[in-house]
Amino acid sequence: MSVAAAEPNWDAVYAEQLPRVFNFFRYRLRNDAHAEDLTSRTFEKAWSARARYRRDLAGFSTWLLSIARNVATDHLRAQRPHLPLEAAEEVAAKDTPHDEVARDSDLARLGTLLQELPQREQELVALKYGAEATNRAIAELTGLSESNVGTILHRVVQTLRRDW
Amino acid sequence: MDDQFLRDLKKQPNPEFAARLRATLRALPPNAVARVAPAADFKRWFAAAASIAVVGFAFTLPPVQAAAEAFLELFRVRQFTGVAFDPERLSTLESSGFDPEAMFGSVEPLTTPQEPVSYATAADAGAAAGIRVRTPAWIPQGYASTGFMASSEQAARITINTAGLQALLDTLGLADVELPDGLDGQTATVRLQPIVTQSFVNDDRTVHVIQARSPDVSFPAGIDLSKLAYAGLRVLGMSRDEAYRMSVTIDWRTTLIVPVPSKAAAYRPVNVAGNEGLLIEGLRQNERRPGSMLMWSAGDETFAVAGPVSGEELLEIAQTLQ
Repeated sequence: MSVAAAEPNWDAVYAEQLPRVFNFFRYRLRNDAHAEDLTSRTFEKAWSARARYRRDLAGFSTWLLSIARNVATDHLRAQRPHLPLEAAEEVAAKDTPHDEVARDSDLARLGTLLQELPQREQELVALKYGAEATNRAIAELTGLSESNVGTILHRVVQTLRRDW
Repeated sequence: MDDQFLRDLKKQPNPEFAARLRATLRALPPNAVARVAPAADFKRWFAAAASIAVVGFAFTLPPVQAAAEAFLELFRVRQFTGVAFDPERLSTLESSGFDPEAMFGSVEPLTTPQEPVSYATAADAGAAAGIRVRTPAWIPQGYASTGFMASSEQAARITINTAGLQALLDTLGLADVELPDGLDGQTATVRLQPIVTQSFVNDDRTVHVIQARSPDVSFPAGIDLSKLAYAGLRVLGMSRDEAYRMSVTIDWRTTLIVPVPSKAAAYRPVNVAGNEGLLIEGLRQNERRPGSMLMWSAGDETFAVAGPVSGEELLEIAQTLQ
């Protein structure tokens, strides 16, 4: 099989997927600087591993998001020995005017509410609303059933609406 | 607060960041993963392969992304064939001070070895390895999953030194074997793709389900593979007639020879979901109980199931992978 023939149009992929991956991390971490850093890591990993991408197994977006999830997991895990992620973000938020502004934003407020939810729910919100993943794609990524994804997200939105 | 509100919180990445990242990616060479130093594990693997047979080694040399390059030939595992060998031949080599690593020439690792990473789910392990990990719908009673491990890709370039190979043949007294012309100084590249291992434990017994893309070996075109295979089969202890017959009938670009200890185990071809596999039974995993191993290939992936259970149980596990 010709590798070249199987390769996606990388320029188009980049333009389409960059905002989705970036916003996945933004919703997940509520910090633009971290989101940029982890987005870079995700694309560099994907670029390095692109020969292993197989169209017959997953859509490119799903494959890219699976890498992004792992990058996020590694990042969150690395934060744990020092401070809980939430606490770390709060500390960071107090450090710079830029982040103080961000904290006042709706996303920061959403982040505060999301912190009350389990990690799984937080990730589903980031995938659904940040990365614009379909429920089916989220199901593929997480191993949950599609209907379960829909149910959990519905419940999360209700909770957020109640507490907003 | 509704779906639309949640979606509207998105924003476009900073254009400077987007441009910077794009430039970084463009500057990255294909498959630019940090790699350089040698890997102790890889060396051991080569040493083991070398100890077993020239054929085994030759077919581990490999693959190569340069598949498109016409001057290279590729080996990919599509089929497994068992060949009985006498482990005492290895003892003979060891006692004569033979250095298996020196046999082939120089080995230059192309990747930096990394510790395997554990994952809780098949999806995560598969994402790390770049494959869709298949899990068995059935496992023997009493066994429970302990998760998944994914190893990193490993690759090495070998520069062949026929003097070392000839020394091996001389040590074993194989005067009838002639090495292919033009082999000396040639290079081959072996690439092992990331491997995902699922483990199922029952007390001190463990069954492994192993999955990976086929390892590749790329090597210069024009080498007489059947001649090289004949040499390898003779090293394993096969008679001249048998070795000749096998060397000219097998497709050496797709068949991986699996040396099976002749006195300790039995092997036979089996069917795994429409693919031909090799089942080895009676392997001594430890002193207390024998084990079995089943290997097969499907598409461009290779699979193995192994553990201290019967061959029939391994087949059942393999048939239910989904």
